[in-house]
Amino acid sequence: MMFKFANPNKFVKISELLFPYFNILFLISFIYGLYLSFFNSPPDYLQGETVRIMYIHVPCAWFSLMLYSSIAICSFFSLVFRHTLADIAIRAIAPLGASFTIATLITGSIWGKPTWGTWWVWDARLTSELVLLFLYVGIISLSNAFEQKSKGDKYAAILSLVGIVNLPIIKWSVDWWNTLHQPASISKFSSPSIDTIMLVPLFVMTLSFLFLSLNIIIIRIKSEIIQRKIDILNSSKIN
Amino acid sequence: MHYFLKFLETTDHVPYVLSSYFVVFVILIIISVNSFKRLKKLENEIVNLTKNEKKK
Repeated sequence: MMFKFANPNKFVKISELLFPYFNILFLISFIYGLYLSFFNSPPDYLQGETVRIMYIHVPCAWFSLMLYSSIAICSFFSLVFRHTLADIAIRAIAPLGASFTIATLITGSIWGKPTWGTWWVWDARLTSELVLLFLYVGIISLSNAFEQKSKGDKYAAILSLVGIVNLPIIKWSVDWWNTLHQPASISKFSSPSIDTIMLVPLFVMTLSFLFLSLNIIIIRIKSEIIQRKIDILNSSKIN
Repeated sequence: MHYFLKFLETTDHVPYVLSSYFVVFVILIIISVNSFKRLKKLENEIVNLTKNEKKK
C-alpha cells in the first residue's frame, strides 16, 4: 500500500491535487496566526512583549527537528528498500530543514539578547541546534558531491542516519544540562505550562508552517523528479 | 487591538520582535521563490527536450 503511493508519478498526480488546498490553508492559517500573535495574545509577565518571538521561533525549531526526522525515515527506506522517491525526498527536504534551522538560530539569538542579555552562548541547546545545521549542510553537500547521483544519495542517507543521535540531545539538552535556555513548555499535552491564550497562536502558526512546508516539499520533489527525467533524456542522447 | 497598541508602546522590545518575524519571512520567501523558479525552469527544459526528441 505504502509503496504503491510512493511511486514518483503517482506522487506528482496526488500532490498536484493537494497543492492548491495546501496553499489556501497556509494563507488562512498564517494570516490568522499573525492576528492572534499580535492582536490577541498578552505580553508575558516575565519576558514582556518579547514573548511574541515564541510564536515564530518555536514552530521553526519544531520543523527543524521534524524535517530531520523525516529525512532519517527516508534514509532508512532509501538504504534498506532502495526506494527512488526516498532519495528524491531527502534532496527535497534538506534545504527546507536547513532554512528552518537557520531561522531558529537567528530568532533564538534575537530573543536571547533582551532575555539573557547576550546574542549567543555555547549552551547545550544552542550548540546542538548549530550541529543540526551542520548536519543539514553535510547532507546537502554530500547529495551533490558526486557525479553519480546514487552515490551521493547513499552517503547523504548514511550521514542523516548517523546524525539522528543529535535529535534527542537537542530535545532533552535543557533537562540534562544546566543551560540558559528555558525547559520545554509543551512537553506533555495534558499539562502544558503556558496559557491557552498563548498556546492557540503557537499552534495556528505551527499549522501554517506545516502547510507551507508541504507545499515547498511538493514543489521541490516535483523539480527533482523532472531533473532525473532530464538526466535520463540527456544520457540517452549521449549514448 | 489593545494588546497590539500596548506592544507598539514598548519601544525597546518592538525591534527585536519585528526583526525576528522579518528574518523568518525573508528566509521562507527566499526558499519558496527559489524552489518555484527552479521548478518552472526545469519544466521548460523538459518540454523543450521532449519537443526536440519528437522532431527527430
